[in-house]
Amino acid sequence: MHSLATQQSALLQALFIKPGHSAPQTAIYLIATQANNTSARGLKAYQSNAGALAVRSLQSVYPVVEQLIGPEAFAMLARDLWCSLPPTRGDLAQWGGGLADFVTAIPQLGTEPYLPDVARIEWALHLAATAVDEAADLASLALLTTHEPDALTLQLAPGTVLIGSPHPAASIVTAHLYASPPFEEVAHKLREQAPESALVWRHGLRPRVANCPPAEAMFVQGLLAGASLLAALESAPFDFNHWLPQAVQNGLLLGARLLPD
Amino acid sequence: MTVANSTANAVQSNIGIGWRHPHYGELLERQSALDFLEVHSENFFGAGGAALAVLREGRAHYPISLHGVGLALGSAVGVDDWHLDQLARLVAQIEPVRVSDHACFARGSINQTDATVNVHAADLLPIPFNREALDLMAANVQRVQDRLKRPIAVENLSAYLTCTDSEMSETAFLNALVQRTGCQLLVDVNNIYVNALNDQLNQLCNDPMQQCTGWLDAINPAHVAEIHLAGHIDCGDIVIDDHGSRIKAPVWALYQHAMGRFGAVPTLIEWDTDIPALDVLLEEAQLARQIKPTTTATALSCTA
Repeated sequence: MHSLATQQSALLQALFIKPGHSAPQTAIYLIATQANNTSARGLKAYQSNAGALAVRSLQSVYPVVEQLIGPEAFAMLARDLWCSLPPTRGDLAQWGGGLADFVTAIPQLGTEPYLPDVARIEWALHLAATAVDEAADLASLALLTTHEPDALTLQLAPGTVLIGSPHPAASIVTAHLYASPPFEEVAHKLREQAPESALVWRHGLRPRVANCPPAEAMFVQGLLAGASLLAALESAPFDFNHWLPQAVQNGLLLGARLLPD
Repeated sequence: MTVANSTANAVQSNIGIGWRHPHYGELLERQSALDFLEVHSENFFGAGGAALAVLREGRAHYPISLHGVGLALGSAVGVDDWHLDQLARLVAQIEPVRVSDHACFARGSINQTDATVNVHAADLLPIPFNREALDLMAANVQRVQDRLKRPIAVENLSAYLTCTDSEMSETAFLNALVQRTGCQLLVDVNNIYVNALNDQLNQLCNDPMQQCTGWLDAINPAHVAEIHLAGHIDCGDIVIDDHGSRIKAPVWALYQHAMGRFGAVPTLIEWDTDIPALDVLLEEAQLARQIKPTTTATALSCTA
């Protein structure tokens, strides 16, 4: 008789068999001794459920990747990822962050070299959706008039990250999610191999993504690294007075705070 | 744990529905007459954002039952610290009327190209009903209850593999689990019927209804904190508990039997796939409300 741990590992082994592969003989043996002899259909039911769950879970996070490669290829990709990088948590929202690196290693997807960066942007949007809530404190922006810019920094929205790409990945994502820019413009950017930085943040409860111009990206990167406003401004030529009201309006900027002495 | 003697209230139905994403806004707007809402705990593990905001709003109007699908209480490797941390935080925020999960396993390790990796199968996988599994599950349930500082309710599975090294019946296992831990039971009537139908397909059962009523009669009524009702699908060679259709007539009949035995236990209409219009769930809830308990058995409260 095998220990419970051994039996459970055997069943898990059978459930995470990659498509087209067979369960190891030891796993098959243990399942056969663990379960009654009419269990083949039951095992198939669990395997089918896992496959469907993998596809549904990944679809909810990566709608643009799915549109780019098509639903059939995406479903195969999801099932492959499920078996290659299985979930480790009981919350499926935690699973799937490895997709970007995973697609990088798939030669058949090499014709779409921007795919990993698109996946990184979508994963960042997914994380932003559940980032810690932070309320805007716009009154704190008065600190900008009372303190030197080396004494304070700016507070950005929950989930804010920058994702740089040698491809126009930000435009690809926004074209699919917001119909902007037009696909003709995205195609032009792809031909030009225009690098972009995607800015991801949460506006209220809604995750957002935008193509971030290079100077603004350097400025935001400085703030994300905890730099003072002065240091962030010195990192790139940047029209702060133009950026400030827009950042408040689109929910990127929540307020200002003094740096510790 | 508090046990409320519900002699006076025993005939009052206590009916809720599973509150899923397609109905978040509509239910908040309509504020339909329901006694509680049940949500899947894991869908609200995020630190912030829209889902949690919606749940807080729902909590302002309804008692919330937190039903987990990922604790994997029967896993030999134990309960995930991370999972328990998230659940404890959610329980503290929402102050649910009940907390529940399943008598199953999902966590363990597998071998992959020269490495052993930990996995969570994101499914409700069956455990054998034997001493080793009971010891293990009792320890895991106790750990969860100690952390949450309240009893949890443990739900019976629909299982598509039957472990051959069971030493006792499922009901004896669950009753023993209650005795060992002080936990409660969430009786899924549809699950016991699905299991009976599959046993019939496997020539292990001649009379599914008799098997199910026997199952219900073997459960101590004092342990039952909630009942689940759901639909299932008959695929010909297997019956799947898919929560994707209306509750079938035999399950309603078994619910009537359960109400006769358990009294006015809070009852959930569970619908998770092919989710229909909210009105369909409310109709099912109304049907459940029309089935009155014929006993004044005590009803359990699961709050701390």
